[in-house]
Amino acid sequence: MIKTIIILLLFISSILTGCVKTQILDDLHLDSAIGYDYVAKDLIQGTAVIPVYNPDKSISSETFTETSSLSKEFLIKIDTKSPKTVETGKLELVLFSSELAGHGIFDLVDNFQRDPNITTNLLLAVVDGEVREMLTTQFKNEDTGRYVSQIIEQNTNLGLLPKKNLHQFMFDYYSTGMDPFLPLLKLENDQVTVSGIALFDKDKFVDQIDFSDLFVFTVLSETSENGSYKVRTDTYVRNLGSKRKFLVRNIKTTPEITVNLQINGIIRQHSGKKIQQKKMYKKVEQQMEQDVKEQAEKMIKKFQTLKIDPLGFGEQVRSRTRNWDEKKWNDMYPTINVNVKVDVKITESGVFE
Amino acid sequence: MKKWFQKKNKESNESNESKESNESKESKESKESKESKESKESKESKESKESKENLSEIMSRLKKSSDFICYSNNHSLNPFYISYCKSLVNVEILHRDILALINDKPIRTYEELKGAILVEDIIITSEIDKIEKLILNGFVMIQLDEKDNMCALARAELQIGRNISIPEVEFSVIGPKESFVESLDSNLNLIRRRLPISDLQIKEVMVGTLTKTRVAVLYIEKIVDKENVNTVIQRINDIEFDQIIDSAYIAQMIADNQNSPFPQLLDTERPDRVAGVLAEGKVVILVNGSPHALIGPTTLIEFFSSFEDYFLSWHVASIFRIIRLFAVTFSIFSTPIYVAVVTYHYELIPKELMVTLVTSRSNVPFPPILEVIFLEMAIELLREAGARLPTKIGQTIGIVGGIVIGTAAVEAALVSNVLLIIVALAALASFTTPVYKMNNTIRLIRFPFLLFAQLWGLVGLVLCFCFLLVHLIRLTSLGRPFLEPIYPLRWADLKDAFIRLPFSSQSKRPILLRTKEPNRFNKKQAKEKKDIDE
Amino acid sequence: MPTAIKERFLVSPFLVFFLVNSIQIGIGVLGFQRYIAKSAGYDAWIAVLAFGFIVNLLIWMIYNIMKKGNGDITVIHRDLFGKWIGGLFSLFFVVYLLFFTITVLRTFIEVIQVWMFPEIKVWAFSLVFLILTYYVVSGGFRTVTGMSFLGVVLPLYLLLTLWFPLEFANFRNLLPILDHSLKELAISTKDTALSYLGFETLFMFYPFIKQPEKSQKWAHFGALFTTLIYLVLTIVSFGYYSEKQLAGTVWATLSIWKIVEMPFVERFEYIGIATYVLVILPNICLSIWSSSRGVKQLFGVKQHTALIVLLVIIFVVNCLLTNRTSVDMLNTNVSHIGFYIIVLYIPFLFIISQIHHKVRKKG
Repeated sequence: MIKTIIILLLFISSILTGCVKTQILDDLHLDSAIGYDYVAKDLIQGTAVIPVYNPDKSISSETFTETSSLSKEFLIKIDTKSPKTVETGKLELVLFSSELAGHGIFDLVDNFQRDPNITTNLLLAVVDGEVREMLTTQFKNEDTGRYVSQIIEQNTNLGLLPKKNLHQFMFDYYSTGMDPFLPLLKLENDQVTVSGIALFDKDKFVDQIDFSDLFVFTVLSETSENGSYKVRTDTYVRNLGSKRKFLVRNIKTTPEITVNLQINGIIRQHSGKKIQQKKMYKKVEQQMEQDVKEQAEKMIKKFQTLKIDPLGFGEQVRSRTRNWDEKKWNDMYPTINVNVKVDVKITESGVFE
Repeated sequence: MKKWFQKKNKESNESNESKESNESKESKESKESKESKESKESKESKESKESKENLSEIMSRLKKSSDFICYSNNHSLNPFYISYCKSLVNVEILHRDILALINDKPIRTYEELKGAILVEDIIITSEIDKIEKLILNGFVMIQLDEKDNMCALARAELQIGRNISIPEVEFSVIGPKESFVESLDSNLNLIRRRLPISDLQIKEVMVGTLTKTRVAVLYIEKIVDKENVNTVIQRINDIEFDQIIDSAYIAQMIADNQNSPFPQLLDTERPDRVAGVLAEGKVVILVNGSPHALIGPTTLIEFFSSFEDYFLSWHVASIFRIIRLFAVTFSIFSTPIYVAVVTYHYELIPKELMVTLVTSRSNVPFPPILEVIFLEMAIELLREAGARLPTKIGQTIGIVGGIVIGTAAVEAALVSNVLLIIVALAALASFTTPVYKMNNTIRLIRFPFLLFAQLWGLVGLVLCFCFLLVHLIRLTSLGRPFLEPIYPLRWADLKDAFIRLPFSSQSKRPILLRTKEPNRFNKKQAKEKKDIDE
Repeated sequence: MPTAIKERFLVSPFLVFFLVNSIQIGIGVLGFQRYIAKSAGYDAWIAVLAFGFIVNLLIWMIYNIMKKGNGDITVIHRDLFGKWIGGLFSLFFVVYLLFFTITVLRTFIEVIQVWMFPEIKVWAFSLVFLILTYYVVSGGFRTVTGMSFLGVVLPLYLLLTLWFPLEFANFRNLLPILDHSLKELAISTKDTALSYLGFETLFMFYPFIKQPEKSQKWAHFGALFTTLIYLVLTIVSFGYYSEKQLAGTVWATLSIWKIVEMPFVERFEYIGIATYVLVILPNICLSIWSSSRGVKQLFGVKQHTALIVLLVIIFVVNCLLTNRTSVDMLNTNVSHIGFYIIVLYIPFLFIISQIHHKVRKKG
């Protein structure tokens, strides 16, 4: 009997004093997006977007902007202005202005990686222009952070953008034979659009890929299952599934890389002369193969001159070499030969002939 | 008194604990017999003290009660004295079968008396205790000589009781519609009719110093493990209590762990279920005056299997069982999870759900735990009130209270409507448990979970779950593990646990019961594989 | 000292599978990847396999030792080395198990502090957890085994979550295979050993197994299952992280769970950590049961008393370890001692017992 009482007392004491800090859902301001602008060296301007859920089920967003030297400091400064504690546990999106990205973003991103509170599914993107402007824009009946991240998600699902979240960015950043890249957004007429891909040299934004090259880049960088490509002026081809294969020759001396690209597609729209179906297929296939090859090779040449490797050629060579020497590879990279072989297969052209 | 009783029972529990192994049986049996000997001795000593009383003393004590009737016919030729308890005796039998037959005949001895009376149950005795007991059980005492202790007792019991009706607690749409009543003999009749075999044995014990309740232990001799029967009888004999009103008293007093919120004996009001489990090799306890039979040893899973499961096709029955188990899990965990997530782990909530949750809670002034306790209390109130009121009013109260209070509380922003849905569903889910006692337990154990969820969120929840698991692992029913077939894991017994496989694969009786005859039927004979078109 | 355990306290041989598996899978699973990849890089999965093999060899040795002896490790020590030296060895073993328990519990609290509640009080959580442990262990070995069984079966669903990182995995990371020297692989194998610790409790609970000879295959299966889990986890995390990224990830498994998103739940690591209470509990219960049993055998005190004393010690030490560095230090030291116990001491004991047995046979 005494034993039970002792145990009960111990229990109650630990329950009474053992409480931890509560984070009750409706007493929090849940940050949905954060954006960073460049102010001066070691000084950044942060903008946090907080969705406000109104009792009538409509959503609007509130933004806080602060200038500080550390990203954590910026969040604390926001707390001083906010009626509820700002929590980053539901952060979905982090945007960097292109100017800031040019100075390197590792320190900022590293912060998110360290914080156990933040999801690794966090979307990162670079904004062409000022981030603050984009985040303070109110988009219809929607929270701005959610709105922008949905645009990125939607385009990723469509196959226009390669998938990139915090984890993948860090994966690319840390892997020896690869450089990261992020989607590039732009605010045009109060509307957010995906304008291309931001290419990084380690953590510094160096160049971009325009929207017109997006399809080729996506197909080159991952096994893609969607996306559309415009062949010349008259045909739209929808990608049903693309595969890429790397072939590396002469590993010991000067490697020579061949990228075999296989694209299966259907014709979405064809406004050219009406010709026989088989012939049309052949023609479109040939034209597309030629165009994609040209675009791809041009793109890769550009990467080589910039000494960046977003497609992971280094990774391909590393995984095929014993005792890989990273430095030697970096020196050699701009000079190696990269060939692209494209194989397009058209399987359908709709239900009416 | 009560304390002493508990202590004694605990002792007996210890000796009865973990009857798992057959090997250690012998030592235990000897222990048991020793104990029972002791208890017998004590009883004998008591009896001898009482038997010093004279019959006339008992008669004078009985005569104080106004329903006791004692008269003699003053026939000089044939004098006899009749005494009986008016409230217990069927006057028709008394007049037709006893008085009418002996009034005119010259009767000199008790043997002649026995021959003269048409009643089949006539006892001639001079044991004072027995006489008193029988008179108080509706026997008519006939004496030829008032001064002598010798007398004849004829059964003329007045049987008043409910007619057999349909089961109310364990109602089933299909299947038999008979349920037990308060009379032990009618109940035994219901079971005997279903199992007309000589192997069905009934052992009767008298318990309760005041109530002298008849308790019957039923089992099928050639199937049951004798150890289970011994345990049951032993524990019932050990009960020291003044009154046994219902089988629930017995259930609590012979439970392995009396501090557990879980019922350790299954109770049922269906004779078909009793017949079914007897055939499996279980032991059944019936108590006079109680329409509920007790079944043991039982397992946790059995509480969630309705006997109707055996009337439906096995696929349907299996799905129903899984739904029931899911419902139980839901009703225990849903509100604690709500508390844990909303209080601590907002990160877990999917983005799409966020809007619904935040807006529903945005005007609620209380922390989630208070909100939940408020609603749970409201539901418990409705339940309690509904159970105490007459059926028709109860229903109305339930509906009115539920709808009115629920809507009003949400509109007044005292609770969030998401929570209202969760609590209502949880309450609904807890009603799917077929056994009412388990249903109550589930109502109870939700509260510690809420407490732990408030303390440490999900970690606290799992900690509490661990306490529950350990408790269930440690729990036994008549010395058999309560969590079987999950732990100890017995594949063969899983055939009738979470799902119910078809009867063709139910060839073996549960291993848990260690039955003498493990097979229900010969599987090989029943199932011969045939080729196509053969 | 009675050596035969009453039948009703014994457990079935196949439950040894769960006992061995549950004590091997512990807190290490949450973050072992970084340590094993330190020296052998992404070839470390070979080390995982290699040590899995060694563990099976060691289990075989343990069974050979135990079959020849009549009782648990304390009895064997006494028979082989005499009362005093043998007793000293046993005492060392008991103390090691005690510290093993402290390490596991304190590291788990560390995980909770880092990932969930930074302000959770060590003493409060330890107290509730240890009361729970007391409740389990005071139920006897059968209850401990039951907890081990459920502690393996219930959290098994966590393995399914390894499906989600596959979407992001790049198994090219593992190539080229065998790019490291044998020495590096050997060091990595040693680092792997630390995650397999705990099966040495077999020394204590062997007499509690019904027909122990039959249980040997189950012990092997248990160890194999552990190896399989570790292997799958290693390969998935090697595909999921690039090498330098993994080097910086302290709790790799927990970080993997962060990527899991389902329609009804996001951020799976919170559920993972909560479920891990179920994995840690049998771990602690089994080792505490073993050490309290050892104390009983050594000093002849009641196991109940020994249990309470040990729990108090654990509670106090736990509260004294306040910062991360001391927890880390404890972790490294205990795992090193554990490594030497299993890799050096078990074979040593094996050889001694073989010789002893042969000599006695001749004599």
